[in-house]
Formats: sequence, C-alpha cells, structure tokens
Amino acid sequence: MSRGGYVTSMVGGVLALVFAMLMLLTGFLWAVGGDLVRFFEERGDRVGSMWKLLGRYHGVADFPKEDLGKYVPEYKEALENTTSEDLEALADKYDSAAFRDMAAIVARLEALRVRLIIGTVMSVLSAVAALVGAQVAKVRLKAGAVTILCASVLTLGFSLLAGSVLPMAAASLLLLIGSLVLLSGVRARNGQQPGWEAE
Amino acid sequence: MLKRAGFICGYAGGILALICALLMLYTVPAGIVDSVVQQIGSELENEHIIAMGEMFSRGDWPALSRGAFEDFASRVAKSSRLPVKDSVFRQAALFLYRAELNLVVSAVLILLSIAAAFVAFFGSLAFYKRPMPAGAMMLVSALVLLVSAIYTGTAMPTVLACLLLAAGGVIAFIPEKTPVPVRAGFRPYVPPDFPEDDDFAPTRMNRQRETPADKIHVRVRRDGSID
Repeated sequence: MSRGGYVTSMVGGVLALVFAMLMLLTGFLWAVGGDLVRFFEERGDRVGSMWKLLGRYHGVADFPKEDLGKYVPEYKEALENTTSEDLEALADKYDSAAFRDMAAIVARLEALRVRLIIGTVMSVLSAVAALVGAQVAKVRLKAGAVTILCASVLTLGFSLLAGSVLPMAAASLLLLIGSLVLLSGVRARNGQQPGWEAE
Repeated sequence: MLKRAGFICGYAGGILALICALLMLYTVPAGIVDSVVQQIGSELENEHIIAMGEMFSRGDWPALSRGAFEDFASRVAKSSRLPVKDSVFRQAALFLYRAELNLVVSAVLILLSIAAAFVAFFGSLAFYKRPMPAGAMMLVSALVLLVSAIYTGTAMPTVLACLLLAAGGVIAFIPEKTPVPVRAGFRPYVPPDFPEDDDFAPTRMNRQRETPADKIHVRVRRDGSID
C-alpha cells in the first residue's frame, strides 16, 4: 500500500471530522454572521427597547416591576418561542426597521436549521467512513480507496448542503488525493506481468 | 486476535473521543449559559442586575481574581449614583467572578479534552508498532477525558469513548504469547530416529503428510519442459 496515500487520507479524514464537528458554528457564521455584526453596529442602541417590546408582546411584565425569579423563566420561554413571524408582526406594529432586520436574520436561520443539522450529521458520518476506509485500505486496498473516494465526495456535498463549504473543501481535496494515490497503487499492482504472482 | 480487538477498540475510541471533545464546544457553553440564567433567577434580586449593568458600563474590567473583583465592586459602588447598597455591588461582583472563573476553567478543559482526544487517536495508530506507549497514551487520554467530561457535565456521551480507549489501552499491555523456555538440565522430547526404517516405502498417509498436494508447484515452459 502507498504510504503517501494512506497518510494523506488519514490527515484528510481527521480534518474532515474536525470541520464537520465545527460545521454548526461555521455554517451559522457564514449564513448570518456578517448580518448580525452589522445589526449590532447599526442598531445596537435599540436592543434595550426591543427587549422590552418583545417581552410585552409575549405578555411578560417589564424587568423592574416583577420579581427576578419569575421574570427570568418567563422571558426565557418567550425568547425560545419567538419566530421570524413574531418579529415581523412587531416590526409592523411599531414600524421598526430594527425588528424587520432581526426578523430577516431569524428567518434565514430558520430556513438553514434543518439543512445545517442534516449536513453536519452526514458530514461527521462521512468523515468517520473515510477514517475507517483508510484502515481498510491496509488490508483491502481497492475497497478502502473507493470508500475514501466516496467519503470525499459526500463530505463536499453535505458541506455544500449546510452552506459551509470553505473549510471542508480542503479536507475533501486531501481525501480525494489520498484515494486517487491508493487507486493508482491498485492499478500498478494489477499491471504486473501475469502468471508469475500465482506461483 | 486480541491485538486486533485492542486496535479496533482504541481506534473507535479515538474517533469517538474526538467527536465527544469537539461536541463539548457546543454543549459546555450552552450548559454554562443555562446554569447562569437559572442562578440569576434563583439567587439574585433586581438590584443585583442593576448593579451588574452599572459594572458592565465601566471600561476597566478586573483581572480574574476574587480580590480584584471585590476592589472593582467597591470602586463602582463609590462612584455610582444608583440607590443600591455597597454589599449588593459586592455580591453581584462575586457572582460575575464565579461565572467568569467557571467559563475560563471550562474553556481550558475543552482544549485539554480535544488535545487528549488527538493523543488517544494517534496512540491507537501506533498500537501495532509500539503497543506499550500507545496503551499509555490511550489510558491517560481516557482519564483526562473522563475527568473533564465529569467536571463540565457532559459525561454521558464521553463515557463510551473512555471505555473503548481504556479497553484498547489495557489490551496493549497484555503480553503476547511466547514459547515457554526449557528449564536448565532438561531437553525437549525428540522422537528417536531409526535409520534402518528409511528403506521402507512410506504408507499412503505418510506420503500425503510429506508432500501435500497444495505444496506442489511446477512451472511449465512454452517448449513443454518442466522446471
């Protein structure tokens, strides 16, 4: 077995696993990171009033008027139940651009959530398959190489699905190179002079 | 067979440890935020939050020590115009100190766990060549992972990885079977050889034992001669 192909596949597999586990974070940052930074830069001074209006919308009393032991769980539940439609309704009610911007950010996150979770889980499984394939290649060269090749394609595909392709592309490339080097080893072994090896 | 099982345990444990350690990046901060919110609801009053707001508005955030936070609280209390007692500022500062300390310790433990997971994974790769160092790497990493997982409250998924790593580490220390050495003064039994029997034709069973069919290799050349 080619040592270079094995090492490249192992490095690619480990990187793929790390990037797949970080994909929830990177996918979130790629999707709404810039918009969130811009929101807090431009409308950071409105956050306090938005906080208060959101609480009122969900029927939570204003902060100093209620006991903290009651206010915290009520407001936590209100935050968990807030959707982009609630924020749109608040934007219409108070004619607020800040609520409208936040509604757009939350709507993008809601649309991404399912794809991000599926993409992350499948990328982790593909990375594990690549690591298993690298060990299988020691015993069954062709099967291991094909497993790594499939894993490289799958990690790239699922990272595209999750909207976080940039870090994963490097790992997929390493896996692809590793699998091709291993497959070239298979071809070189099959190309030996026939008739002599069987004896 | 045992070595193979040990390698598989160590390799699977290393991959699982990597997944669990990287999963801590999400579960631990979420757990800290949840516990801090719960503590705010159960331990603090409204005036503590007002005092915290006053402290956050100051630029000179103190270093991570109890004394520094107490000094900071007394400085803010002296210069504040809010109708809040000095003791409230002190309690709020100590709450912030505990939360920040918990955050820093958890961050260090997460980094340690990720490093330990990598050590365990690379240890499992060295299982066949250097079993003892590989076993030590896996056992130490399993211990570090378990301790940090218990401290950060994420023991449940990490325990399986630790068990696999511990199994791989223990198997690495089990010595391979070696032939038992002959005691001094004794020789192993060797059947006697009778040269007079060599002239007898071997039985059919002996003939098969001496030259089994799958051991016969002939190479036929194109001109028909046999090597």
